[in-house]
Amino acid sequence: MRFPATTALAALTLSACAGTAPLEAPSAPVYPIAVYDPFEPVNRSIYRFNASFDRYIFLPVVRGYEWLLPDPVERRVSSFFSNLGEIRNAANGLLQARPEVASRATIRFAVNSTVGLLGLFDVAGAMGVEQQREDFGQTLGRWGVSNGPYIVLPILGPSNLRDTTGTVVDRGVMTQLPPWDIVIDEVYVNPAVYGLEAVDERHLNPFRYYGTGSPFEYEYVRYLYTKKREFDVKR
Amino acid sequence: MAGLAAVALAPSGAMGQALEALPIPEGLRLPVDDPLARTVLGTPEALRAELPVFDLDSNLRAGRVKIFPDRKVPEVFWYAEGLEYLLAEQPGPAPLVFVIGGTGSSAHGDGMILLMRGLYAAGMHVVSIASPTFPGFIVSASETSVPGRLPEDAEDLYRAMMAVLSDIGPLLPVTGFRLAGYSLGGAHAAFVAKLDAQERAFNFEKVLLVNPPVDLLSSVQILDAMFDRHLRDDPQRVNLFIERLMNELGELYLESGEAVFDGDFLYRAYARLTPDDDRLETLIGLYFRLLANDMSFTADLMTGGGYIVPRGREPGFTSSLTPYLARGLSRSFEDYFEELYFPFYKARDPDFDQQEALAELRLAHVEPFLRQARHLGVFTNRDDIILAPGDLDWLERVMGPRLRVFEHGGHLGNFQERAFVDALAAFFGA
Repeated sequence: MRFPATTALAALTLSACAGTAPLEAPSAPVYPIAVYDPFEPVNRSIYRFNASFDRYIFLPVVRGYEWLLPDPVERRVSSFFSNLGEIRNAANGLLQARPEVASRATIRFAVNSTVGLLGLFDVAGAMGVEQQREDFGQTLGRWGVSNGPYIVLPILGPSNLRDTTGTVVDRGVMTQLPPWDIVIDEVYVNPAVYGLEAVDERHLNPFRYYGTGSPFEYEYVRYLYTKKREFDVKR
Repeated sequence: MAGLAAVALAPSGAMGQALEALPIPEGLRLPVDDPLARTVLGTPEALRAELPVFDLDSNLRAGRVKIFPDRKVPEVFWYAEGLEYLLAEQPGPAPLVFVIGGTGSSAHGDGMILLMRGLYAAGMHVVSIASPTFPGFIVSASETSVPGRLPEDAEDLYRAMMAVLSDIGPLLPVTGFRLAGYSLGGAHAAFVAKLDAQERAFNFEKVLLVNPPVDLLSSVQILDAMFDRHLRDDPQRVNLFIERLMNELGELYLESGEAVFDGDFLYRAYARLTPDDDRLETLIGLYFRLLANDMSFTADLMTGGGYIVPRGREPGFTSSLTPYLARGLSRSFEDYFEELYFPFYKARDPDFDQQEALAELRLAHVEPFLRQARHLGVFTNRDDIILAPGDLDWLERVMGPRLRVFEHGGHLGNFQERAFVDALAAFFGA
């Protein structure tokens, strides 16, 4: 072992977090790694399914994509989808009553969609206007909605009831409204675009199922996801 | 585990890079000579060597070997199909060095990768082998699945290395074999080298032990004590410690948007939080306790339970393991030896003698071999935290000029340091 990258993580592995409940009987020592997880058996089955899906389908496709395209092209793809995400960031900034967040996303979208050639280049970022991701799960959290039970979604991975609702709103309800409906009509003309977006997201995500080698990886991921979202809401 | 941290805290949008670096306050002295801080943080930037990078598209290969193809494995470990290794390939013919990981390390742990890069810079093909204490090794490559007995671990490692070599195949132009190991892997390397002197499958030309424990039991007692001194049997203190640290790291994340927990982030976190020795000790103690827990739980389950998992109550892949994680926190390395390891080997062998078993946990067990093995060297640090008083003297007496002592670095905290990387190259004769 060497410490640097692992230490923080090791330290992160257990802790108290708001809106969680211990799983154990009161007599046993209660460590707060126990995030509220009433559907744990189902979640663990889905976790296992995700690991297999990742290994036999998703990652091979991602590797093919990485092999096929030169790195600069991959970065343009990432940049393109990231730019479309500004619509979500702006909408949620508004819903959170944070005009500075909404206007930042709007400026970024305006600059990158034009000067940045339809989002292929992050010109706004180069000028110092950095992206701040906001989704509907964070919006709910901002208004005091607690996590609810931890949920592992098929393929998408760690979530909770609040964030799952958020995802449904972001990808369902909001896509019916302008300007998303226009983007859907103009960009997502073919299911392959959704596929490309999914591949790009997996390509950017360095997580590998069972990469930690720890038998308690499920617990660690569950805890870190919960803690990370807690900070995302505060951000 | 770094990848996991990176994901967990990475902004989930496309641009996952650090937004801006937090400045290091003026006049802050980075801890070159603080062994606890070096153990946690590694090498300060100013002292770092340029190291080659690995890339799965060109010079790095990952592989997996099945050692016991017919072994039935508890359902919880369904994913552990074979032993993983990494191979970093040179473009032409070169010697090949095997590296054995430290306590709990996989074939791609952070420390392992750093040492591999140093060895690769010295011009060798490098193959990483997980520590026999790594859960994946216990499940798939250990004959007894109860690690720590150095002569038996050495046989497991030797078998694994031969399997890996045959998996790599004859196309890799190898001009000779070398061996290295760090931390517990250093002690393993000594026992593997001795085995190779009899078996001669590899005929190692050079063997290097980096920061090895001299007595495994006294080293783990030092690490156990770091946990026990601060957090012993008190979930509330564990909670408070982690909660505080987590919230402070979270504040840094909010401030900087920086989410990848690499060494530089930790340096800035260190600069900001200025943890005292107690905190660093607690962190190191907790880190090793979690590794001990992974190892004990795996060994326990593989041998039918009774130590952490109740006998006959094998969890399935949908069972919650959280209670075992919590229970394991109060079980030290020493508990593992006393309550799982000794009873297991005693039950297996009626002539088992505890004194003899303790001797097997020391480098002194292979002292005659160490004395005469001219091809074997040791690197350690004067301030290595896992050495007990007298250990360094023992190494000096036994190894003589084949011992190289660095003044600073704590435990494994100088893998990236120029002086260390240069010494690697000199030792392996690049």
